Formats: sequence, C-alpha cells, structure tokens
Amino acid sequence: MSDLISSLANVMQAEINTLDVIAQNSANANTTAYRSQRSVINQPSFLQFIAAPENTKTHSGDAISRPLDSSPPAMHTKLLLSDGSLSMTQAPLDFALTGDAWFGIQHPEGLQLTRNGHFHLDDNGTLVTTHGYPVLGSDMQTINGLTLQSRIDSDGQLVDGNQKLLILRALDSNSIVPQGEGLYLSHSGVDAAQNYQVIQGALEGSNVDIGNDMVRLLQTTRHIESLQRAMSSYDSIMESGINQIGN
Amino acid sequence: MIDALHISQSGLKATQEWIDFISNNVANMHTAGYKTSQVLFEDLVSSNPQTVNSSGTSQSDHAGLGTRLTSSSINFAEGSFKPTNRQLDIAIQGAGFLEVNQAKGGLAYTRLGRLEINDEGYLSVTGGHQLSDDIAVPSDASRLTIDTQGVVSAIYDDGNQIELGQIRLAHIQNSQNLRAIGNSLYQLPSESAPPLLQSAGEGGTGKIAQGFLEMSNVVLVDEMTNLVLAQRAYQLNARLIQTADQILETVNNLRR
Repeated sequence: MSDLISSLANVMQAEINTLDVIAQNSANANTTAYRSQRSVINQPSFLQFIAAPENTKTHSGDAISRPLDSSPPAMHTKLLLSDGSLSMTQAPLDFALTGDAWFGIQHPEGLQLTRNGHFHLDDNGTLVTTHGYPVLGSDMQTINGLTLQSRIDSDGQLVDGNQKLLILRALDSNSIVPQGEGLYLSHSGVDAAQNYQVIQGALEGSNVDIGNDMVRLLQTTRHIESLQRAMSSYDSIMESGINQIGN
Repeated sequence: MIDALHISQSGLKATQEWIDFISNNVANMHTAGYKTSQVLFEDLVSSNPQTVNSSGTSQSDHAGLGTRLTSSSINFAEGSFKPTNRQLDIAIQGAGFLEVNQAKGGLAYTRLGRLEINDEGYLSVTGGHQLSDDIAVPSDASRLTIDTQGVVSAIYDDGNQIELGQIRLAHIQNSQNLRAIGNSLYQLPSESAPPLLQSAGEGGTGKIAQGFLEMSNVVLVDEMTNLVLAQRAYQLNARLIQTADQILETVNNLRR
C-alpha cells in the first residue's frame, strides 16, 4: 500500500543528493583546477518505475500489480573533464595543463593525479605540491633540478635540462574519483598523455558551469515539489479510501 | 540532513576569507615593499571509501564536503621601482632578500630597502633591525654610495672614499615558506636552514639600485577581478542555502 509513497521518497532522496552535488560545484567555483561533478540518477530504476516487469502479471494476465523497486534509485557522480579557464600568475612554478592530461603526484597512498599545478620547492629543492607531495618526473622519480629561473616547454620538458614532468591520462575517464585537496585517483590505470600542453606561469580555474548548475538547481527544486505534490495527492486518496468508504 | 547546507556554508566561509585577503591587498596598494597575498582553494571530499562498480563508473554517495581556503601564498614578484633620490634607499632588481638580525633575536628577510643608520651606527632597516652584514657608518661621512654589487662606501668632504662593507643578498629558493611578520619583514621557519648569502647580482639575487624604492606589487585589475568573482561566488552559495532551505520546507510540508 505504501509502496508508492516509499518510492516517491526514494526519488526525493536522490534529488536531494543531486542538490549536494550542485552545492559542491558552487562551493568550488573558484577552486584551482576543480573538476565539476554531475549527478546521474541511474536509468534502470526509472524504467522500472514506468513499466512493470513481465513476470509480475497476475494469473489472469492483468498487468496491474506493480512492485516498484523501493531501493533508492542509485545516483552516481560523473566528473566533467573539460578544461577550466587559465589565469596568468607569472609565478615560475605555477603550471596549467590543457587537454586530457594530469600531473602525476607521489602520494603516500600511491600515484595520484592533479590538475592543480601550483607547485613549489621544498627545503631539499624537490618540486612539491601545496601539501608537500612530490611531483613526479617522466622517469617516475621526484624532480630536483628546478630553480625559480627554470623554464618548462609546452611538453613539460625542462629547457636546458633532461627532466620532464610526468603527464598522464586515465585509461577510462569515468573511473576518476576525487580524493580531496585537488587530488584525483584513476581506478582504471593510467598511460602517458598524448594531446596536452603545459603552460608555465598560469593556473587553471575550475570548470564549473554555473549556468548549467543553476538550471539543474531549478529542475531539482521543482522536481522535489512535484514529488511532494504527488505524495500528498496519494495521501488524500488514501484518506478518502479509508475514511469515506468505511463510512 | 541536507549536506548542501553545509557545503554551501563552507563556500560562503572560504569566499569571505578571500575577500579579506583582497581587501588587505588593496589597502596595501601604496605600501612600499608590500607583496600580494594569493589564496588557493581546494575541494573537500568525504574520507569514506568510494567504490567503482562493474561498469567502471565511480559510485559515490557523497558529492563532497565543500571547499576550503588552503593556503595563502605570497607573490614575491617584483614591484615597480620609484626613484626617491634618498641615498639610503635601495631596491633589489632580482629575487634576493636583505637579511637582518631582528632586535629581539633571530633572522628575518625583507625586500624593502629603506635603510637607516641605527643608534649604534650600523645600517639597518625600518624598525632598527640591523643588516646581518654589520656595516658601520662613520658619523663624519658626508655621503654614502652603494654600488650595484652592494658595496657600501663612505665619501668624505675632502673627497676621500672608504669602503665600509658589502650588503649581501639572501637567495631563498623555497620562498613559499616565508611568513610575513609585519613591517615588510618575513621569517623562515626555524627548522629550515638559513639561505646562502651572495653578492648582489650573483645566482639570480639581482643587482642593487641606490636611490630607488620598491613599491607594492599589487595589480589593481587582478584584485578587482577577484573581487567580482568572490562576490558572485558568495551570492551563488547564498542562493544554494536559500534553495536548500526551500527544499527542507517542501519536505516539511509532505504531511499537511
């Protein structure tokens, strides 16, 4: 009896989670090299919602029973990998990337990816991220030969030196998961990036599309409202059913 | 309840701190030797393990936990030079820093070369912090010259010239570790090794220009652009809080 209500509630919960994704994007609209997320409510649950599966027909052949899947519609987030805008900082150890490419970072938990090229030198002269994780070179070793006067060409190669920044690409861009602190992890493995450009003296902005997120915000609010309307209509039908028929 | 409220709240907080930095930069636009503070944001995500399903797409129950202003770095780019024609004003045309002994002990670094002669007769920077090169200036000298290598000479009325010493410059590679301690002075954390002192002009430290003062390196256009961005980001996050509130109201009205 309450199947419909709990199904509606589950969809509502999924939409509220969508709101969280939009809020995360908006909060990070100015985060260096942040990748925008998009929530996707998994298709199957909606199909189930519309059409009852064959095997639920009654013996008489009436397809009236509809066991709605009352498990929450699974929502997953996808990362948008388009380039963010560049802002020129003129700092010698700021790097921006364009194209499908990531910097390789040596994290205590293993190789991680970042687009945030705000690097600096630590006390030993090693190139590190803001959080002190070493930036990897193409030989998978840390980079030690850089100075504030070093120049890096668009391939990531140190001019007047033999070191090169490690520029990677995830084998499956859908398997990249944010780890916080601007770091990302690829669950599908990585290989060398092909089409990219390293720009020294610039930082990449976030790729949050505020207009798009605002439209989604509108959709989400209105959808939640219509779900609420549906729920209270059903509630009033039930009320008539119970109170008036019983009289 | 609704994470969106807290996520947007983190956005508001980070943006507000950003505006604080912008106003400090703008307020110090005409402060000699002031270096622009730059901020960096980063995303926060839940530490819950995120799994990848069979189709290879990442599943996450949580969108994230918002944003955070992680670090403010100081942009040590050179400011413009203003001719002052004061013999004790020096500007450094390069990345070097003057090293001074703080009055209360410990070393500090500065780019602001507004030199003075302190009570003991030594060259010092504003605030009486003596240059670590200990250059004593004789009280009867009529004029001081400081050449591009930082060699300080006293010239007497009778034309005699005596070399007093050399101002050496500190070459600080890891300048992001410098912390501002006010009066245009910066300090390195106590655990890091003191930088090498080099003659001006060597190893990228830069030459010294006497009679010039380095002004701030605040770029007003950049600050105004950042202010616009910050204001809009603030509005956006406030709007999301309103919407989250509206949705909570809808949810509360489920049962009327």
